[in-house]
Amino acid sequence: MREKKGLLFFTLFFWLFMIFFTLFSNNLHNCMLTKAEIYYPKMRMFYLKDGTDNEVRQKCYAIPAWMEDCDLFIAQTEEKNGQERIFARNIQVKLGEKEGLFCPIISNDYFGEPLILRSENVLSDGEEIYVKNWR
Amino acid sequence: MKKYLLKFLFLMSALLFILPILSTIGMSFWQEKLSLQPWIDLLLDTPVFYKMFWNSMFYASVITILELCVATPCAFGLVTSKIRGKKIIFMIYLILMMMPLQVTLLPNYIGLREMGLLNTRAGIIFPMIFSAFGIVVLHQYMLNLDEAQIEAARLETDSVIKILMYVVAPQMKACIIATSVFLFAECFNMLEQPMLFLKEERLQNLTVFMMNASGYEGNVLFPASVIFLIPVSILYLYFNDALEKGIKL
Repeated sequence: MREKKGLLFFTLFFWLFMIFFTLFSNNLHNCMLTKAEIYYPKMRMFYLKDGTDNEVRQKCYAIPAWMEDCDLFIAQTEEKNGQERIFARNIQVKLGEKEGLFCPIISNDYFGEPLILRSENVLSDGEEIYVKNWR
Repeated sequence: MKKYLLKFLFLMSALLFILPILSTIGMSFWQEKLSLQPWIDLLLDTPVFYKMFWNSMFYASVITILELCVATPCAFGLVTSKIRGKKIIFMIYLILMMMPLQVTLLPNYIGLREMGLLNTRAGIIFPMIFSAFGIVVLHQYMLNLDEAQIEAARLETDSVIKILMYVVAPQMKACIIATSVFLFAECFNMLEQPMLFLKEERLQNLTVFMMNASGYEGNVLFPASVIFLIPVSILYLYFNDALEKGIKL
């Protein structure tokens, strides 16, 4: 009888454990990730140097000027363990001279991916993140 | 001295049998050093595991219940009816039970394809309900039933279902429980049918997850194996008395 009682207790514990993790594993997983806020860069008109002393007016993606000296990370979705997740990727882009509050991205290999504006912790390349304002 | 040596040898051989289970449990807490990381990887980082676990539970439970509903009247009919050739029918069931699963997979696949049941839950459940195992086991047990009681019940009612429920089932409680446990274990462990009949990951069961475990990030195989062991073990432990009685055919 005592054995069966122990078994009953274990069975109850096992099912509660499985139900709890089925319902809340995603939330727990998100709690463990670095939280980040992203920014979708918009295109603006900038005056850019064309290699000579002349300046041309051109439309480029703009990032806030205060990000000029920071490591730039973009947020990218990838599939991991059967689920689409968001990862931070470090990018090296060429920036133009700042104009007012914005700075132009003049590299040709940037296509408007969402930039990570701020994060809870220091990010590393390829780290999974939790983005609150993900579209 | 000789007695102790024998005891020690038996203990060692018993340990050999549970060694794979112990090593599975041990390895689930090991990632280069003692760690909970494999469990964290599985429980928090692999949500698809839960889908497959509940799919396994769903398939095993539904198939067990439905197969019992089909097999019990079928076995009762085979035992009590006075038709000619019922021994031959039973022999066919026996042969079907002995056949390797792989032999019946292709006809099942073609049948399911014709009925449009491929890649559906019904495609897994439907062929399994009519497996011969339940009928053969229940039939053998029913041969020892008290015929006088059944005849007496027949005088009271014409309903075969009532006779089955109130006269036959109570006498066969142990056998029905034993058959249910074996059916549940068989369905919980099935691998070939979901692999062949299902394409979508959301419909697959835990055995398929275990087979593909190397494709998931993290060391998820061992903790998944530990969880995989638990439901069937609980059933065996709960019903071990009924299993012992039920197996004595």
